[in-house]
Amino acid sequence: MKIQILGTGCAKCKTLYANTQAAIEALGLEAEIEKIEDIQQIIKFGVMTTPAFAVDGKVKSAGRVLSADEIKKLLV
Amino acid sequence: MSECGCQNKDVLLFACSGGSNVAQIANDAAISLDQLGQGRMYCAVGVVSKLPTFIETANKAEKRVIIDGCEVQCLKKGFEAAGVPVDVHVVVTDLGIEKGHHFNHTIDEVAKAAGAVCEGLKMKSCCGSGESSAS
Repeated sequence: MKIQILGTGCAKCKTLYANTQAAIEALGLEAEIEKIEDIQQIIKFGVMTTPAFAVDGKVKSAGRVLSADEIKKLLV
Repeated sequence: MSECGCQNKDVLLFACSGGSNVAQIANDAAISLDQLGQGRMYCAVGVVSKLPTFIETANKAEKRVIIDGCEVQCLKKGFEAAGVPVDVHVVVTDLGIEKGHHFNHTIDEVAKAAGAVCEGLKMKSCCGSGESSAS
């Protein structure tokens, strides 16, 4: 599983990244987290508000900092 | 806020919105950059029509980005005529996208134009002064 965090380095993106790491650890999942900071790549995902959260290339959330609990629900 | 080369704090984005795919790619790229916090989209027609309040706002910005659709470069010429400087200039057809009278452009093409603006802004932050052509 590849989880992608889309955003170009703002505080919200960093928080979402940290929450994602916490969720993965809590679930004991084997997952790769990829940070996508390039605007061109972000737009290609169809994302217009950051931070965004995608799993295997599919956007699950945009414009919100998901909590670790919310991320867990998206991953199980 | 997201950043394009640390230059986004007072960036105004002006885009062509004419009757072609490349014009609408320019417009969509400006919308995307605005929504992603890379600058603020502003009325290009107000500037090229030489409306005083629009010219004043454009002149006050730290950076002015114009995205022309094609080689006619209406916006660039309009800004020159209005006496408003341009910091980054992108021409969509210079990115290898062919002009046509249709509107079924792709998100990849919009991303390419937006990416060229970001490159131009980064170049600007590295190189200091003068207009940066990101085409």
